Amino acid sequence: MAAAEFRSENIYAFALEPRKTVPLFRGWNRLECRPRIPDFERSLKAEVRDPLWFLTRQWQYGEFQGEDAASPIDISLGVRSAPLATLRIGSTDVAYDPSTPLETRVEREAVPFDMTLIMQGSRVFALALGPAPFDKLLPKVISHFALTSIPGEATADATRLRLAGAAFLLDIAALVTSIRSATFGTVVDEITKIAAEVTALGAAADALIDWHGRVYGLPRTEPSAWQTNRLSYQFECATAPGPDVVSLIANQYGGGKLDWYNFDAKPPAPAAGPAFDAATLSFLPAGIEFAGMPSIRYWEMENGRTEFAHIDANTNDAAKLLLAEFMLLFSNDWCVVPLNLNIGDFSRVDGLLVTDVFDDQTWVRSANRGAGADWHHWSMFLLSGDDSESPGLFLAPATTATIEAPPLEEVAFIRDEMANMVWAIEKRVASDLGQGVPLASADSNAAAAPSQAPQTRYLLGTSVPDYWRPFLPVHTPGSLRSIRLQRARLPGPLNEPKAEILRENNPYFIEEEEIPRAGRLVERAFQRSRWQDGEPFLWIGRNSQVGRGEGSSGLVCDHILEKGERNID
Amino acid sequence: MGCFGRTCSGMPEALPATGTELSDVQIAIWSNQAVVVQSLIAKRLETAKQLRSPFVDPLPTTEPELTLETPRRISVSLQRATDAARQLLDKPFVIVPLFQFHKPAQVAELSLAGAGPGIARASQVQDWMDSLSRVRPAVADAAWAIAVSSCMGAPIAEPIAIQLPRNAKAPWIGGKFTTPLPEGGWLAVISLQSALGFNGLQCGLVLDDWTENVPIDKATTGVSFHFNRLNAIAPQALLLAVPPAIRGHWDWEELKGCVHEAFDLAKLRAIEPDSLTTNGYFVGLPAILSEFSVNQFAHTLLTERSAAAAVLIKT
Repeated sequence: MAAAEFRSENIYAFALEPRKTVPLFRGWNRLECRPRIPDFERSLKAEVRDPLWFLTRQWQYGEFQGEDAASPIDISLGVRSAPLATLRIGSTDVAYDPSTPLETRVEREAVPFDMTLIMQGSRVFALALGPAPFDKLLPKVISHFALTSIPGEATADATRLRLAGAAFLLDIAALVTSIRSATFGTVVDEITKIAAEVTALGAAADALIDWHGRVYGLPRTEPSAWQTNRLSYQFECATAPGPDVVSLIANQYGGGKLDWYNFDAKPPAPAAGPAFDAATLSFLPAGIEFAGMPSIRYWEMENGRTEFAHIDANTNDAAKLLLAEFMLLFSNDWCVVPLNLNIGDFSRVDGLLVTDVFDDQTWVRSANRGAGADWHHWSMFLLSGDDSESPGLFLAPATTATIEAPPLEEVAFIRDEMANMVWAIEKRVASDLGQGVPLASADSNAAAAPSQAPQTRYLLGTSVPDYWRPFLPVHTPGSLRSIRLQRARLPGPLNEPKAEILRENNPYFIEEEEIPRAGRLVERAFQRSRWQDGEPFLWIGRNSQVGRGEGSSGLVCDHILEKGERNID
Repeated sequence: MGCFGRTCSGMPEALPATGTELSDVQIAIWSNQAVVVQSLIAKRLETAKQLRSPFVDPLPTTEPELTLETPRRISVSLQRATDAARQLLDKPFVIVPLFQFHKPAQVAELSLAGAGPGIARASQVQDWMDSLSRVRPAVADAAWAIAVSSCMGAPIAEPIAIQLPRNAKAPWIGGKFTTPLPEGGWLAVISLQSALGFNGLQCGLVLDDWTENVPIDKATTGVSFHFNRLNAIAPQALLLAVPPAIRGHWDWEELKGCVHEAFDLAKLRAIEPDSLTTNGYFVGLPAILSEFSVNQFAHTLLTERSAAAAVLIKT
């Protein structure tokens, strides 16, 4: 119908000619607003056209509903803290040293005197000896400490570098041992009798020992924290004896990042001594804020990247629904107060005294009040075994960012269900240059190469590469059911493991549960980190993690190969 | 033999393929190989020459075309020069740009050697490299190169460290701090210095870079607690109450009346169209409903005017 027909003269013409009656069937459509342009910019500006509309929306959302509640206005917080005082590795108690990161102290292993260390130490010694006239002493020292064997898998690079640096490379291992055991003086006597030269050699020796301590750390005095049967570190640290003393046990620290979750708390028997330092702190309360938290202001837009309203939850996802409800409805009932704590301290929050705007005071206690709580609780940052009514928070004195070198050693423990045993495969071992080098074909989980049998024949047994080390199940002492794994060896000449991880005294047992179905991968690598005063720490540590699945050695014994059958599948 | 020299210039084909002894046959083979290599070189030279041909179009004389065209030509020339060099010396060839410090004296000041003995000893830089060479393979390679270079007759100078930003009171950031480290980000550059120092033309390759974080000794934790706060929120509109009659003072009942009236008006705005359909007003309200019928007056908007028209139709 043309638009012109809607003009008013048409309407009047129709009205004035009543004989042209048309049956009138009328209906009514409700008019709905609909945006006619895709640009919402102006709408989102929320321009105020009608201030009463704001009140309307607030009334609709119940924001004017009176409640029997009050806003907090002041918070007093009682906190007790104490630093770590002792460290126990094995059965040895040592004083905790806050100037060293905890994981460095726990993990540190002796650094082998490989070619890189030899080169560095030789340079330090040569530079400390200085230029002429004392440089002529260096060949004499080299003649006494000539480079012989170097630990690690031999590489062509190391051989070439050894030739290139023959003029200054020393047997630093022997030299350091000689200096530390005070036999270097005898060597110096053989080299020279001139007082100035003796002094120069002594100063160079001191410089070398200082450098070795600065860069590679002092020799470890406490026993190793690595549990060979658990493939993880185990240690314990505690606060000073007193009524509040707490012992923190790290049972299954596999290396890598050390944090609160590696520790379990064990309150030992209270002993005589000072209590934790207590402090009462006063704060103004502030509401919590988190990504996606509903905003209470009409014109504030929430961050669209986190939208709890779009949680995809089924009706049986009760936990997810409860969390969403908690986030969406009750987030404004939570307050937070900042608490500055020293790294390395164990702290307990006794409670908070909240004063509201009506001057009423409420004592807020922890929801996790120890083992006496009659419901199963879970909480972030809560240490297992900490049954105190005032739960503690432990800030582990660990490094934040560690530079980790490519692994020096890599040993994969895999389950071989066909052969019913566990294999430890030396995938990567330390070279004489101080770097990790892969052993031949170690990346393949299938060890022996299959061959086509021309006809039926008897196979006494297949062989596996010598870097596959078998671990056999044996009974745990005193038990007929539980088993553990014992290192064994295949028939043939004795072949010692090259990886330090496997170089343990016989018999070497590993608990069966430590090798899951997916296997376990243990690495040994140089790590470097800085500590609070900027001091760099360099150490060799291990990292134990879940492996990449089962493997098969293809080991079979006493087997008849049919014609055309591949001997190993 | 000349072919040997070519192998170092990105032409492995020039390496004599066979023969260890000098004989007429072998000389003939090498001669043929040299001819092939020569033709390859000629082909590469020709390609490179084409790439190095100058721009034939004259530069524009007017702005801003001139300002836009000049850097474009520099960029294109640089790319063509790189391509030409790669044609001649094979694909892995890299052009390392030369540059010059505007104020070499200032850069020299930035180095720890120039900052005086208070900040760092040379041995600290050495310790830093020794320690890092165990975790960064590229640093290890550099350390080996420095160590062995003197034995090979081409010694590389001892590395120097430059620390940015320049702050005479800041300690050397690579080692244990002798004084507290000012907050912020710091950059340390270990430079394997050339004999020229910071004067003259320079060029360099970045061998490795990494980030070191120094942890703090305190952490700000948070204690969160539940406290049932009010859900009521202050009105998001300001009510300006005006008394019906100015008497010089407020009357409590009048104030209450203002508030109640404001809320009554607010609640009126909450009426939904569905609420209107239950009473008789909705047909008379403007811009709520639209009439439609099968006749020519279909889709008449029920505004005040169309309502009048509807009345006319009825009469």
